[in-house]
Amino acid sequence: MYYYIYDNYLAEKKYQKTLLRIESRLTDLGINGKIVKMSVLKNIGDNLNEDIAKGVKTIVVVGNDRTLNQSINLIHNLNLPIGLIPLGPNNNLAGLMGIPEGEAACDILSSRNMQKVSLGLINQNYYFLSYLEMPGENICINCDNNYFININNRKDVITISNIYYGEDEGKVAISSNTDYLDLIIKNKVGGIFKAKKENFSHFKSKKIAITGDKSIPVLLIDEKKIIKTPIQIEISKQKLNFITGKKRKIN
Amino acid sequence: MFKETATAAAHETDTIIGPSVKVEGDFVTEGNIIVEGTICGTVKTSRNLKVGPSSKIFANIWADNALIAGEIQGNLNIANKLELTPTAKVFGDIKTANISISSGATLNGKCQMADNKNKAIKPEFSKQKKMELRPQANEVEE
Repeated sequence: MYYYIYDNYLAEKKYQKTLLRIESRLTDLGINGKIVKMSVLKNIGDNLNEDIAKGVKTIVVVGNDRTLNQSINLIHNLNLPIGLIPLGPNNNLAGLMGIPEGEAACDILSSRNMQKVSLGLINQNYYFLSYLEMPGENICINCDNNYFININNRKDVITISNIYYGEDEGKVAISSNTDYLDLIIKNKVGGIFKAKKENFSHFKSKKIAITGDKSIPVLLIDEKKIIKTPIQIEISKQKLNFITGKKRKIN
Repeated sequence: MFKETATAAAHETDTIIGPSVKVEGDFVTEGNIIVEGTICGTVKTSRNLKVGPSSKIFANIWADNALIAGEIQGNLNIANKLELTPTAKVFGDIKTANISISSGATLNGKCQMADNKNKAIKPEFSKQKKMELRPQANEVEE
């Protein structure tokens, strides 16, 4: 049985026609199933896991990167295959996974081309697929318990990435879907009269521990979270069985 | 890894330590390293190391090949080629198979070319027999 999780923004009128077309295509392909709609007021987590325990074989997220990230944190059994039907803005992960937007994604789902995808894990309880960003003010980053980096500059932006789709750095191979996290430290030096120059640092690490004197605002897919230090970020042993297209850009 | 966007050059470098970053501890990696900032501790890589002109390293270094343009206070153990550019300052001992020092580079320390294949051959004097220079008794009688 297929289980579809819809984001709450899909209730907007402009998505209704596309959703109808998607549902009709899914029925044609014989992969239609139960639909659950996310809501700001309702926590769907408990119902969702009960339904999954009853015999769901595939979970499909309909929405964008944020929907996907919320869903993987709601689902307890991450061994199940997970698919994505991208719809609306902020669908960067779909592009990397080779999944076209809207109706065309149904054919990818039906072909069931599976790919193991690594997951980042924050403080042993919150998964992330892509990358997180934070300001580098008075923090110390410890990598693999081997070396540490002190950052005191407010202009420093720290990116910790599992799958990266940000600006292409060109200077370095930022890996995606490996057993390593990429730690990127960027800052722009310069002023009104000086030409701006970007300082760039890049490290690879399996385990990153961040300590600081106060809580750190972390930006994760357009979602701001305030996380108390120390923050432990690592690659999870759990990997997602993701249904991807043939044109995927990650291995 | 991105199949389409990554260039060949980008694939080669794994770690970049920028000018604003100070790393302390044992820095061990299996990829290429570019250092523009400061490192205190140990640096170990099985591949190449490039040290920029503004960088400072207070560490012992192990690498396959190294190009040094900055300041290093510590010993260098380079398996293949070590290149010191005119801006390089090394305060420590060097052990390498192949070295190139440009005019203007500073080197304060011992330098050992540790290639075992090209060891200097020691003459084996002790095993040689002493030559007999006197004429034999029979020859004198004739």
